[in-house]
Amino acid sequence: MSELLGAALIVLGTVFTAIAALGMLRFPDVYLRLQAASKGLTFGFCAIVLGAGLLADDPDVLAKAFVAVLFQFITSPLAGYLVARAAVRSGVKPATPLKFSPVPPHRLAADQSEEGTASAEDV
Amino acid sequence: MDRYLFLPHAAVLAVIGLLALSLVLVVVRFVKGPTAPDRLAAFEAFTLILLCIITIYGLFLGTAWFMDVVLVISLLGFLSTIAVAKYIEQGSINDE
Repeated sequence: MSELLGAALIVLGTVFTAIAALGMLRFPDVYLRLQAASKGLTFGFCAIVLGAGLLADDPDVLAKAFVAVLFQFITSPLAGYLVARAAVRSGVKPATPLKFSPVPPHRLAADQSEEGTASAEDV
Repeated sequence: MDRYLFLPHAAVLAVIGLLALSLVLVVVRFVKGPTAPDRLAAFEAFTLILLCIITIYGLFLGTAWFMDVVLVISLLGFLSTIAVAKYIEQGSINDE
């Protein structure tokens, strides 16, 4: 039973990883590519690692698999957020123009007056 | 050592082949990517797909050490991703 569940999780994670990699190639924008990378790939990785932990038939491997999944759930949204913030602050435009500004108006005025040197400080 | 040999070779080959294909797609994005955050996102995706391949191949080989490798490489990938993101954002990785 656990072997069947582990094999199903590995196949599901592989399909999700392949679809997310296709999204990384085909999406028109940094932000949409980050969407594919940080959601689809996180789910694919977690499904594969949990499936491997179930298939390995070893409590140590299953415990380490849970630790790896927990760590990935903590760090992957953080990394996606930091990359998106770096893209916004280095001036990458979205593929379709936005109807609002991602930066608040007072930050925008400060960036224009001081040429972006203050933007690294007032996080 | 023999207890994982119930995994059929064709299934392992198919899964690793699909993961390697997605690795190729991510490398194409890394080479083409017009901006630096594109390349950083592609690097992050590369690390995760590589960890998936390491997991399945280690399971196929029958060793129990692959999960330590997965933990260490995911930690290193996260640290290098946030370091390069700070470098893109403010030109240095110092906080001062």
